[in-house]
Amino acid sequence: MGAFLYFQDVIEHLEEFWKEQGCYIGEPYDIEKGAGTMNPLTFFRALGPEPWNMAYVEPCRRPQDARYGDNPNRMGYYFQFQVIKKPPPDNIIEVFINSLERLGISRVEHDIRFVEDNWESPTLGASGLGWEVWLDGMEITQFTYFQEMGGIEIQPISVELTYGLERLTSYIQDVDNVWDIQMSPGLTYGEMFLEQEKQGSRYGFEVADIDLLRRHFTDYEQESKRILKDGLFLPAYDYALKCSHLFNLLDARGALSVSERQNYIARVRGLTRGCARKYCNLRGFEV
Amino acid sequence: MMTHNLLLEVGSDEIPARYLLPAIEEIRVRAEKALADARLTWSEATSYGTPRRLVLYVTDLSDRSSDITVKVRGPSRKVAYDSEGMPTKALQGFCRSLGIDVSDVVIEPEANGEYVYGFKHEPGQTVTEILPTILSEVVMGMDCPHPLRWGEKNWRWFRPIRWAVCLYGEEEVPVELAGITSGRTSYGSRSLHPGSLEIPSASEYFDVIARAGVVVDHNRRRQIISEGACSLAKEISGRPLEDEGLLDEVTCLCEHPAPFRGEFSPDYLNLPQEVLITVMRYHQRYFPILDDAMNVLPGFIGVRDGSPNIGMDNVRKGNEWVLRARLDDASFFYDQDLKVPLGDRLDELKRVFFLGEAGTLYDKTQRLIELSAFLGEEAGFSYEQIEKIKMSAHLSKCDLVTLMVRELPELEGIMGGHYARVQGVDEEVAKAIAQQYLPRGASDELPEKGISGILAIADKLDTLAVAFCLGVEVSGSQDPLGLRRAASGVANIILAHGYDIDLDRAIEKAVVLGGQAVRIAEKADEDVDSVNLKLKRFILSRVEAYLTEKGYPAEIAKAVIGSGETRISRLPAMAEAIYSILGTGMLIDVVTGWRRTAVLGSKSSERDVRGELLVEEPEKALFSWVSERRETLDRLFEDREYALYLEELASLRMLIDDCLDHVLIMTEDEELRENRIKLLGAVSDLFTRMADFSYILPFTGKM
Repeated sequence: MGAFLYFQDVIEHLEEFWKEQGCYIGEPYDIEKGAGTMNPLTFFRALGPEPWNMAYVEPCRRPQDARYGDNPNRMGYYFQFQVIKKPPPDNIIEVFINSLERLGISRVEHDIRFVEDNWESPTLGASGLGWEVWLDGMEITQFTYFQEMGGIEIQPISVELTYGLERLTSYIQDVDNVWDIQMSPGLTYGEMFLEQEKQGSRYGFEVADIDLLRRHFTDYEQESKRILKDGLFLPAYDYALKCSHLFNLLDARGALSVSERQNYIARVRGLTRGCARKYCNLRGFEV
Repeated sequence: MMTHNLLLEVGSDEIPARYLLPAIEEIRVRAEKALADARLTWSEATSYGTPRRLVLYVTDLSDRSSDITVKVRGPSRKVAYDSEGMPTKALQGFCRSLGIDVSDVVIEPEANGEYVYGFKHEPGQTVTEILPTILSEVVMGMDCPHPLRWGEKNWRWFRPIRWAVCLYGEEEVPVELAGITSGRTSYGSRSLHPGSLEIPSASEYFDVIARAGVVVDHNRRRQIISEGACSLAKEISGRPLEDEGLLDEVTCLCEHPAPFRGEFSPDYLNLPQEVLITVMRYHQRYFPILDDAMNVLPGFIGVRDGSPNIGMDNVRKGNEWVLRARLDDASFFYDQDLKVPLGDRLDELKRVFFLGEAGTLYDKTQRLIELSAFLGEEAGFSYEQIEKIKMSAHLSKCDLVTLMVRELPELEGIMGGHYARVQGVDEEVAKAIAQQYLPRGASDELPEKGISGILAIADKLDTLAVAFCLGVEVSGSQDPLGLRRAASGVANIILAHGYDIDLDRAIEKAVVLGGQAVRIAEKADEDVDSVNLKLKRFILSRVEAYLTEKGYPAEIAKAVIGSGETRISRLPAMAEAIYSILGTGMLIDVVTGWRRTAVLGSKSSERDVRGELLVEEPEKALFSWVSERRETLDRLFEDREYALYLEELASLRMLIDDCLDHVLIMTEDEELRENRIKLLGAVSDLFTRMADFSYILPFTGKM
């Protein structure tokens, strides 16, 4: 391993690297989301023929994965480093490996492996084929060739790279526990986020008001549908994201039966599909 | 004619491990067919592969396809020649199109007159003219189960194709594959030789690619891994877990395998062995190391893709780090799980759904208690044993809500058995819980005979009954719930262990219970009957498969199933009895006896033969034989003495022949006629309860 890198250095190096690869370095989107893919700049821009190259850090909320801060590498709130390249260069895997080398992870000194893992996001009507990337046996990145987004078969396809920043950094820093990750000199991940993790876990699993969540889901769904009719697919998508987060909370809270769960997923998918279609209409893409 | 070797290398992004071995085979098979169709000759075709390349190598491939001459039908003689016998324009045109002279044609008679035939000579083509088209088709036409779509033309293949090399001897052959054109430039191992390299000739490929850090022969990689794993395991006096599936998978995940041994703290050996093995095997693709007594040792064999020397410490340390995190998790789950007695989890099962809308796992548990007890009674278990069966059913699903099984679903059942045992539950009960999902596949072991087998049957039969009540259809590759496997499990356990369970009764019970779960009880009786029948046919088809796998001809399997004997564990003995008299006169006697009585006997379903209405000697003899022997016959049949039973049937032949040869069955007298038909019916029943002999007719030379 090369020089010691703080969490902030890892992000900085990745941003620098992907900037050199022609990516715009973006900012996170300001609505709760379960994965970086949900950022509208990925969701919509993956559609249609126009090239799109961007990289950004995205915080993710997955109430179901929360563990009260007890688990060394599983959390309900964490960060992904997200790269989207459309169309991807032919040597995209080599470029990706180079990005690891930028972090001091030499391909000769380590074992980097591409193990089949196909990806699907039912709420986004999205799917893709690819791999999970293993670094010395640890999964550090999800590498996906998108095939479908918003229920629409896309052409050309994009590559999405999702680096698990905590995994990657704890490996680089040789710490066993994400809460011990050093963010910058003298500041740990635990100091910044452990309390949030504990409270978030209690909220998601024990305290969240189920009736209120259900009510808000329906409200946001109605609003999303209403304004989509008016062609406002971007604000409509914001509400779809809110629905998706409320669904995740209800799910974590154990409030949904199997069929109800399917039903909620289908409702969110209905919204995101509608938004994808409107976007394609606006840009004049064939659907 | 000259020959050279042909090399085709298709380079791509990493092909998923599970597709690689079939793909290596397929590219060779397709190529051989294409080359033969193109009239080329060669000595040997072989194929190899790594995640990043499929390689086809053909030795001594001819440089031209062979010439052939095709006979082409032309116009009829009448049209070809005028009244003076001179060639017409039609004939001249025909000959021109074949490039031959009008004098070269022959005339052949056909049913509707004479016709002109010409010979078209097709000269061979050079191999380099042929290869681009056929090789492109060989590669792009491969069967990719879940293809990736990419590029401007929406190409489809396992993963995007990135380069291709095609050389005939030293000559580059340009083959178009998904928008790229082959040349002589290849790429080495991602870690050992990341750059490009030039391949001078087909035969030099293997040396060049080996120097670039690629072990292209998958069998060689397999061997390196397997031998390396053995010698590394020996260092700690152990040996790697034998697992062909894992060996194949690991072989298909690397281009240059470098096995290494890692360690973990012996503290984790407190975990059940199955947990240790599952974490290593399924989650990390490591080979667990076992000692002579099959105990897991605190080490593992991993396989790295890359150098066996450089950075090996990083790789080992990294893998140990990951394994430690996973085992830490597992230890936490284990300790937490043990804090709750298994039986206390029953209420939690009310929150877990089973097959969508078919109630919860709690409901399934209640059904299993009833169904397994019923099956236990049917199979003749004692009261005490049945109490144990009920206890194992009661606890059977509780491990599904433990942390360990939620994290490692492969351990369902196994953890339940383990927790039960540790918490002091009866050993037999614990074993039944652990074995309830067996057999998990075609070659998997069966649950033990005894109460384990009963719970395993009940679990599968309930799933089948519920799925059939829900109207789930199984067809071709469509079997998401694994119903075929479940039905095979039911059939195999009952047959192999010889449980004397009546399939009809078992199905009826399971469907009544399952039907309540999905509320088809309110539906008409015909619906329930049709579910019963469908399920019975489904399971009987697996019984047939069991019998044919045991080596019995399909006809015999169908014949004994056709007997209508639903105590299916008796079928193998029935099949054996028939099988052992194949080709003997005894079989002829039996089949003839059946044939002669069944035809007329089937005209009535009544069997109340009246002795006083029998007037002719032969019919009296037949009747008295049947009356006297009935008890013996029934006993032989019940006692599974099928060979002796068949002997009895064979000995009937003479009486039957005598009766049918000398007594007019279809006599005018209605009362006598009816009575004779009933007699024949009663006799034919003795045969048909053994087999539907119509399937056996081919073996007697009579159809």
